[in-house]
Amino acid sequence: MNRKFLVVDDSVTMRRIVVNTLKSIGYDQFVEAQDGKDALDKLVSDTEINFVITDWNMPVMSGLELTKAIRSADSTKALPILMVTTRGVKEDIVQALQAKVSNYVVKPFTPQILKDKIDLILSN
Amino acid sequence: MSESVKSLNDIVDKLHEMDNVFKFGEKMIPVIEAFVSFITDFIPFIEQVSGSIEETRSKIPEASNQLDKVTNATELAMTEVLDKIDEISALLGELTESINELVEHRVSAENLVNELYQELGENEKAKILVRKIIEQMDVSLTLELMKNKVNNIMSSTDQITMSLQVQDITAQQLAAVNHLIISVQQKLGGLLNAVSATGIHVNEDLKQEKLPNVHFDANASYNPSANQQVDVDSIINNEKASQEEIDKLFS
Repeated sequence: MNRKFLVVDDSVTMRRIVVNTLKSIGYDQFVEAQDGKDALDKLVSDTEINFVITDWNMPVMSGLELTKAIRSADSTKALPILMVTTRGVKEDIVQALQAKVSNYVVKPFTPQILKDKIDLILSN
Repeated sequence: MSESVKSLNDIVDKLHEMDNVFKFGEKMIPVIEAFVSFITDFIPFIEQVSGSIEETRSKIPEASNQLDKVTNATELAMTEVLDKIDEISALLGELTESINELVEHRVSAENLVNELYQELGENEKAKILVRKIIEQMDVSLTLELMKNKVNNIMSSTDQITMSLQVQDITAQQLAAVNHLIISVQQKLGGLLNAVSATGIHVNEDLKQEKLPNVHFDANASYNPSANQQVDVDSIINNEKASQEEIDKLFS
């Protein structure tokens, strides 16, 4: 599958889990970033990235700020963004939707949930 | 009344006022003495309290560091567990390939034995033996069971991987506690500064601790139930529907 994922999370464990899950569902190209700022740098240096999976709570730049930054730049505004976070209350979800995330997954997630969300985003 | 008499009356009034002030002062002296005595007794108490605050405050960075160490240690341990899971997954992949090869070999061998059976012609004794060989070779059920067991182990490793997400969730909870105790340290620092401003000696280095630049979800909780995602999806669908309705109004 011709997809290159940018996995953004300040937790090394979570990045490993997301990458392992992506491998288990058939993807094989990944770039990792530890916060929103790092992610923006990676997007500039690697133009092959065509899917972003990001956590919300991160130092330096949060996932929400990252989403807004991606959506405000012409070169990246169409990128699919999947928010994967512990924040499951309605106010947070609405805030993420207003920032134009493509979809939203709460931790802990199963490989099936991640796969379904990626498939749904790509089918749209 | 002449001007001189009026002036004298004013002076007398002022003297009465002064007399009253002195009388009041005489009455107040014991109260002021008691107040000074109270303050004198109270200063050592404040110094003692500020000493306790200093001691408590000095322990907070250690507690905060301990929490950071817990987070780092669990993250390291989780990385090791994930390394092992990767190894197990790779081995299970190899095992699955080996089982598939066995299945292919068995099918090839069975085809050859079937050909041999056809070549035996009227040799009934040999045919019986070949049939027995075919029966002995039929390990398809065993291989199927092996494949199922491998799949079950793979499913268990996926489950373990999912459960390891608890590390991120507990790390956020610990970060929330850390943030709280550093806030307490800041407040205690402010209190010590206030005490120091009164002239009472405070040993503590009064520089204010800055809150660390950490971001966390204080409400993070580990809930492996699929219902959580169902609830989130329901909110997303409702919100998208209402946004679409709003968009229609503007289009």
